[in-house]
Amino acid sequence: MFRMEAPYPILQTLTVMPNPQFSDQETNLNTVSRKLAMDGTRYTYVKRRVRRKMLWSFRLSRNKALEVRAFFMSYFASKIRITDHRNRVWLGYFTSNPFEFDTPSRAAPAISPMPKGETQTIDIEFEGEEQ
Amino acid sequence: MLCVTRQQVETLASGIGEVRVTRQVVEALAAGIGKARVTRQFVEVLSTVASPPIEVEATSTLSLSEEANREVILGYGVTDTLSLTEAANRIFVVSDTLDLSDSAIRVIIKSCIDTLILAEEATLEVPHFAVDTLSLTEDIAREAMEFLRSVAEDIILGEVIDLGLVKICRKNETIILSDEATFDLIKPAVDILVVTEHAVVDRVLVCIDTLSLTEGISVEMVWMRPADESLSLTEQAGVNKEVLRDAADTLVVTEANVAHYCKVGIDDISLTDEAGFIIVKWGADILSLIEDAGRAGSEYGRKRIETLALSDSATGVKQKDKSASESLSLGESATGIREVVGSATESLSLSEVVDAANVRSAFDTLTLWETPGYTSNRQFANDELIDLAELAESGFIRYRDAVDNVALNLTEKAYPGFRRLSAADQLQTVHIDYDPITYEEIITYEGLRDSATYYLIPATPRPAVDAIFFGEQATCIKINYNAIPESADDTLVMSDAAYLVTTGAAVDVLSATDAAAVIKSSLFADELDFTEEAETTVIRNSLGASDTLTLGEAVLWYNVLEDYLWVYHPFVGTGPDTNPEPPPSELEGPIPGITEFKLLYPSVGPFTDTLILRAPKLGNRDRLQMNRVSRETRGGTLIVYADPMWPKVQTLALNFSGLTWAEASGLHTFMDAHLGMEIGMLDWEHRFWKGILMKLDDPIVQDGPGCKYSVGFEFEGEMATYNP
Repeated sequence: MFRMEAPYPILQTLTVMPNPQFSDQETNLNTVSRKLAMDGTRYTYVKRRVRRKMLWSFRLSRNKALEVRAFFMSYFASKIRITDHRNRVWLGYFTSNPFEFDTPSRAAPAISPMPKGETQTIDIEFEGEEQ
Repeated sequence: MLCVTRQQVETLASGIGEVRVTRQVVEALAAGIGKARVTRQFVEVLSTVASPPIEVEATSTLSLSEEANREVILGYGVTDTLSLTEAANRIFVVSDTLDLSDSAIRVIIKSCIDTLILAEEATLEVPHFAVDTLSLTEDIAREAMEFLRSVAEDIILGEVIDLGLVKICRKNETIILSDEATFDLIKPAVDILVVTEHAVVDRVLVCIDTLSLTEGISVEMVWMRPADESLSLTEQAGVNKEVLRDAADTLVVTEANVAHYCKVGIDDISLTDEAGFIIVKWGADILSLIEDAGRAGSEYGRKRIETLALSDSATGVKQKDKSASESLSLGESATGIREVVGSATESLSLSEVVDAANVRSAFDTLTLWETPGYTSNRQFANDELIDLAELAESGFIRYRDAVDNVALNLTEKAYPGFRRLSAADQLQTVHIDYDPITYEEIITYEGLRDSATYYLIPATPRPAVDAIFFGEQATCIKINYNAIPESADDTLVMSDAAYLVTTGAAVDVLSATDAAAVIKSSLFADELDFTEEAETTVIRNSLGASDTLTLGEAVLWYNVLEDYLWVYHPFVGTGPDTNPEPPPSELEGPIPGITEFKLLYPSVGPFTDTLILRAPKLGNRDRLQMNRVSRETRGGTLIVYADPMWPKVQTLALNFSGLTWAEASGLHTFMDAHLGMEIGMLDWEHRFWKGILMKLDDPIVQDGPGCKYSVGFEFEGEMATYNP
């Protein structure tokens, strides 16, 4: 279960999504800068960040994609609380731009009252701090 | 806008001996948009001195008791109608129906066939001339009677009725006294009827008759009639009565009772005790006594003398010398013409004061305001009471606009009180424009408006506080740049304030107030300088050095900033006040089964160009591109900024395959025709978009023989309502 809630801290909207596809990414944003002195001494300059950069790819039904689309339209710049598929809670912002919904294939046979239709994929890039 | 309110509370008199006459006047003389408020409160205690005492009697004298005996004199030649209601004096119907109720004493004289119905305890006399029927119901005067005249008549009396009955019957007559009543019946000449128990009735018919009641009631009656007559006296009704028909009669009522008269000719009726009446009638009349007529008011309708005023001074018609209680019935005569002449006690009664208040009130609304030439004659035996009356009149404020050039007809003697004058000068220019649509005139005033108001409370003989108020309000309706120089000075000039020469014996207060308010102005108008003190010339005569002159000035203005200041609220991603609008609770899902894809021009119908394609291939993309600014602080915190007004670009990337050449080339034709123009797009989910075609460089590719043309484009726009 993947939950997106916004805006934080006064949450108004919750969107529940399926777990992301494989190949999700979590990036450490710490940086280190190495400098070598003339005598070969190595100096490192470190910039630590608590933030993580996450990349999730979701495969959604068309209706759910419309819901997520509306969520993006409203909270594309708001602080988001995300509970990921590992039940970790993140606070941060979407950094995707643009949000692009692809329509790779048709959906499975519809589950009433869901219409038959298409599946869509969306890649979400997110930077936030784990709570 | 000028709002003038006024509040006035007056208590003219209260108590007996100690008279406090208080008056309080509160006026908000002006209050409007100009923010000028001239408020005046004036409190006067007009008199607290008991010496000389204002003789005011208690209200106990206000009412004539309901049991007041009433005398009614009535002479009818033929048909008369008298209707009496309530406890009034009742009388008379000839050839009519008379209903008497309550405890009145009635005398009824009939000439023809009548029906008389007396209810309850009424006491009555009924002379009949012809065949009549008199029925007394209940215990009317403890009597029940029936008269049958001219021929056989029956008289039935019931119970303990003191009855004097004189009848002249030509032949057979029957008188039945059921109970203790005693009768003597004498006829057809000089008769003596003696009622042995309570009443003794003597009566002489045809000629001069004498009817006497033995107990406390004495009745003398002289009656000369050509026909049958009857007289019934009941119980305590002591009546001396003389009726002289066809000639001069004299009727004397000895006690303080009611007398009823029915005369044909000139009569003189004198009431010896408290009540005195002289009523002269000549012919058929209509006499109606309404309500408390016996004590309050009456109306007489006659052929000759038609108006009988109940007031004492109704000369010639009726003279009433009343006791104090009688003179208290003045309220009815509030119809304008009224003279009250009474003794000191009468005129000084509290009822007079109350009545004066009523009259004063009438003057306030009807006379002083509407009829300046109103005059009132009052005669009071006490000067103090005159003062009260004067006070009553003084409670009014006369307002005249000087522009009207109508002189105020206020004399200090007649109408001491407040006066207020106002003058308005308008230093304005008028522009008349025409509405190009309606062709109506639009009048625009520009400039300054200067108004001066003037209030005067003339000195009164009373030792009280006299206040003089000057008020000026300068209101600028609209000031343009070229109106400032000429209008500023005028605004600040108080009109020659030498309105007043106050000779008040007590404290004089002169307050001058100047206020200038700019209602609407341009930027130039804000620079108006009102700092100059209003030049006010105050002339005071007979005032000592201790007088206080207070001049105050205030300038108020509004700066209208709405048109010049734009309040900018940046939108930041967090914070309770900048929460973005949440997504709608319900979203319209796609409508399956739509296979057509339409490009429409224009975007708002009716559409003049339509291109229909099959649905695009899978792999179409819906791209949302929002503008936002992401910054990372030195500490590593990510801050995201966005403004709601920043554009959000929605792009659909579509590819089509399996098109015919006509469809593929038609798309190019459509693109050529409407390049850069807003078109409509009805997609395969039956959602309508408005936007433009982008990325037009996608080639048409023929993937195979037949309908295997493919092409693509991007559409940038937003969803809209499909309204073909």
